[in-house]
Amino acid sequence: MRSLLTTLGIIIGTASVIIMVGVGEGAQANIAAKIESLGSNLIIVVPGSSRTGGVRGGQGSFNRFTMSDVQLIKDQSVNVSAITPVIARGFQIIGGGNNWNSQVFGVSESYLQIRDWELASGEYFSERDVKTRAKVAVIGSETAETLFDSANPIGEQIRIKNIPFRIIGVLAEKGQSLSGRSNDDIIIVPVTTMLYRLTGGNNISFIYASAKSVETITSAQEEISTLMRKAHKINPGQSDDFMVQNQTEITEAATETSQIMTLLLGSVAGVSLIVGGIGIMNIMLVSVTERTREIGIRLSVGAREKDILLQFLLEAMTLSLIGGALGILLSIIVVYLINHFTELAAVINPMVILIAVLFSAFVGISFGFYPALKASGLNPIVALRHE
Amino acid sequence: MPVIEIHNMSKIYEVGEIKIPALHDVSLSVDKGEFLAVMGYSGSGKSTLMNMIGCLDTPSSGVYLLDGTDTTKMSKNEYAKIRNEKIGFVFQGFNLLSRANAMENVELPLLYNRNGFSTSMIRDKALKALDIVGLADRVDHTPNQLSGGQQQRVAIARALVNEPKILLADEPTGNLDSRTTIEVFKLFQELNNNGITIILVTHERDFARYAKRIVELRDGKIKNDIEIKNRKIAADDLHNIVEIFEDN
Repeated sequence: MRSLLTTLGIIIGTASVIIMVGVGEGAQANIAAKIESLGSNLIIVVPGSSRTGGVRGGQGSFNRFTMSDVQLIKDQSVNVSAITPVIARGFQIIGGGNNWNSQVFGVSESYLQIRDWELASGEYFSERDVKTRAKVAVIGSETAETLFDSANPIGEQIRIKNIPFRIIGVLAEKGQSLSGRSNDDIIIVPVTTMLYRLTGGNNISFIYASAKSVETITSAQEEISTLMRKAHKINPGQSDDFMVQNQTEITEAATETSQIMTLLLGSVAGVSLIVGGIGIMNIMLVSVTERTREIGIRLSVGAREKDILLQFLLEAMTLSLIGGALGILLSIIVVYLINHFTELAAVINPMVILIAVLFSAFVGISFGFYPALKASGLNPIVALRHE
Repeated sequence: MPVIEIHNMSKIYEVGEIKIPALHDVSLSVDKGEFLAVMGYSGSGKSTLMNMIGCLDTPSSGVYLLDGTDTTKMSKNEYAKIRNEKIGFVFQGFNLLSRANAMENVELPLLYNRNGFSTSMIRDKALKALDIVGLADRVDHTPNQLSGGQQQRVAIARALVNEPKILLADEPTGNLDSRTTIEVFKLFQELNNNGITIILVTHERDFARYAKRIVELRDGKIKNDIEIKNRKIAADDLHNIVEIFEDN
């Protein structure tokens, strides 16, 4: 019973470390997965020059992007396989007798390819549609359900800002996006139609591009940077007024915060493990006092100081290793419960388990050392007289 | 060559500022196969002398030759080796491990033996020692399942298990009744007849007469050192006690 209470500190400490790191890493994996759903080989170009953490930052700069930026890159780059301008704006949508406020994207004919996004039904708009500013739209699965229930929306009409558009396709389900919004609550129209009929002006929100292959991503990024600087007439020495990032960079930036959080949580849990170690030292000291006579007996029959030291060190280490093992068991159960009953996702990292085991053994040895040393230094005659 | 040679041994205990002289210029020589009884009042230095002989403590001055080797400048590990292999110690309070059974208690010194005995060897030796003291049928009993006399015999078996040259016993029968005491002395005499040197402390002259030589200490010095001409035989005394009980 006493041993169980002692190891409780280690059990909780070990479990905490594994769970905290698990929750943190689960969050990171979540973010990374969402970014991956953006598409592979993806390069995102956004306006703005400060490093505010990726896709969401960089708003409100002076030089907005234009269609000519996109054209320049399309014409002059070698490693970019496809490029699309993106305009994002919210509009009132009327369709299927329903009213709905939705995000509308104006993009080119290569958007789906770049985004690795398939159609569930119908077709996507063509280069000709973009050229002729056709009033066609492709909608997401959630939009389709909201406006038309289970009826087939293809061929149906929706009104965006009271302008009639014909639905020619429905997108496959994608799930949640980085910002937390649903990817499937979307309406896509040709960028030219958007500029001409819906927003006016010449400005686009950002640019998506894809590199020819994973290996050429960096060169494609550099090309885009150079061409954008040229298009925006930025002199050498002046900083960019845009940001070109690939998926990995975006992932890193986005997960940076949760990485710090994970580290912090893990450290706090680590502290609790150390507290558990103090518990072990405490109980070992008591144990040494209680077994003073036993130590005297062992010394009198020929035990060396080293033997006594080893004996007590081993006991301390056993206590903490058992605590560590139970802690691992506990963490597996808790992580299972977290994944099943909350929205948080936690992953069990085998590396963390290994570190936790090693750390608990280390705690056992370090905190058991002083008591063991004390035990081995006892004078046999004095020890034998102890009651 | 004597197995124990002590020359001018002194021991002064220092308790803070106070110095307590326990042994004063003691010289003693013991041959192989001797059976010594060390006697003296409380505080006469007999326990201190035993501790010195048993290498449980070191003298303040003087020389102690054990089996011809000077023990004066030895390391702690060397003392531990002597306590393990050369000397067996029996205490008044038995000093058994209360959570271990008789077998485990007797095996203890073998675990610390540097000669690396195998598990089966350890078991055999322990069993043999328990057999000598007549407790082969109680191997799995823990101390609280044994009588005082049986516990002391387990302690004696433990002291014998590494086949030491010398058996030291500090008032070994102090906690035992008179009949059990005589049984223990019968065992000691048997062991001594088989070659082991025995030095024991007692304050009862009746029991001291089971030994072959009595050394008397007073105030840290040797007062008397006499050989016993007609020592008592414990086996006979035991026989007589049985007769008395049977008659009644």
